[in-house]
Amino acid sequence: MADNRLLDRVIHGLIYVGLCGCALFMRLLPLPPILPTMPAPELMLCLTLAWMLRRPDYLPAWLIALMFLLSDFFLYRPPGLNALIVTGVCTFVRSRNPAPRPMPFMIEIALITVLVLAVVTINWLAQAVLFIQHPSYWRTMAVVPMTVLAYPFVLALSHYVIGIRRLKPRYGRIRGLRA
Amino acid sequence: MAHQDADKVSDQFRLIRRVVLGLIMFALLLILLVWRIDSPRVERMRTELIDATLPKFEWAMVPVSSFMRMVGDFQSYRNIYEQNQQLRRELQQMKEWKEAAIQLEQKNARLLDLNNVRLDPKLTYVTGRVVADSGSPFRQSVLMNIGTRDGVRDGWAAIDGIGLVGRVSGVGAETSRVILLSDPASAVPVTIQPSGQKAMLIGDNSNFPLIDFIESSDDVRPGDRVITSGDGEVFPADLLIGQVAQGADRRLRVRLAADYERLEFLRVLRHRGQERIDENGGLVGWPDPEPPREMFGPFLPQPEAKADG
Repeated sequence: MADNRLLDRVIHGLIYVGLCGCALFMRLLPLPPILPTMPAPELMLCLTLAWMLRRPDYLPAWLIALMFLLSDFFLYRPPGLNALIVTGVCTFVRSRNPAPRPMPFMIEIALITVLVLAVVTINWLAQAVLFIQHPSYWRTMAVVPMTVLAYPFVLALSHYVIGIRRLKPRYGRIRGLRA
Repeated sequence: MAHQDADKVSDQFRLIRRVVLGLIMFALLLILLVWRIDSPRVERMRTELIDATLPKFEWAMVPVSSFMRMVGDFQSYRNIYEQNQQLRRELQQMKEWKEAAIQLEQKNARLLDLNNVRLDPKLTYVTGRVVADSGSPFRQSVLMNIGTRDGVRDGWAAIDGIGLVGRVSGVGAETSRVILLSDPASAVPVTIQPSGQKAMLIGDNSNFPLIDFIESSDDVRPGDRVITSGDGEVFPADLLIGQVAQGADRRLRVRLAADYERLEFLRVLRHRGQERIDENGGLVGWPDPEPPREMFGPFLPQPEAKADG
């Protein structure tokens, strides 16, 4: 990694923006679905959560909010709703996990499942409260297994290709990562 | 000591960070509420944003989707030769239908001539290509690469050469969005031939939209043709939509004539609206707004006169 921490963060921020752009692009392509009757997995959410559980300092809150707001606009969702919820969930993850420790893979999958479920459920509830037209609960929930299935692939990409790994604790006082 | 100073600085940073986070979430909430309250303005912003960015990436989207389509085509017919044979057979069948259609058209023209009825002038159209879809199986819409610059207006019908595909909703300078018939927000007034019944075609996220508000469903059988009725000036009349089919839940649905799996080119029909008749002819009844003549004696005094007194 570069000596200069700022340069490091800027580069990884740009990588994040590029990957989110790719995920959005793939979503917009008029391609046939991978599994019939199941919605596409939320790749941007997978990517964001994978990075949050390893290097939360690479994802400032404003960057997450901006990318998800753009995805709301392009995918014809209520603008700001998904962005708000994902930013909230990421802040929650960051506050509970400032210095990520190694987690067994199955525990991490369980955590991801819970987080994705929370995002989708809060989305659905908010749309019900604001009287926005939306599909039934189980139809919306179909995105959760697809996203959790896609998570290991996104994680493999982040880990091996981009090199997002948990920082080893420094010798001496263990400080929280400056997010 | 240095640690304590560093802790103080990091505490201040943490406070500033909290405030900034609060501001960001408030801004997002504001955007959502503005969208909820004043939807057209935000939707226009959305259309302009997509309009500004999507055409720039068309160069990347079109090859990928063409390639995927090629792969799909290659997979679905084992072999190009077989596909060629099948196309030849279809072409033969189409030629026969074309002959039959020409003869029917001539017969129709002769009969209408006898009645001296004026047909609608042929609807002109603008052709556009499907660039992207909205990406969700629950929001059924596609984006096209034509917009106001090509003369497309909101509310026009889009067909794919065989049957109705949907309706234009949201137009930018270079892109526009078509809501498909299978979207739950889509409701089209239709006529079912040959019984001539009026009904509504309402999407429900499946590939076979529902037929609703039928007067007598006994007169409707699977296989009947469904065409637009032109009621309410939503769509031009007599556009083919598909055939009636009975769904697994025993409700009447429509098997669309348009092929949603292979939406590539769409035609947007220019529909200027029906002519309105706002006044009586003057021959039957009396011309507005004069009061009727006294045929059966004087009328009662008008209410305005009473209010004066």
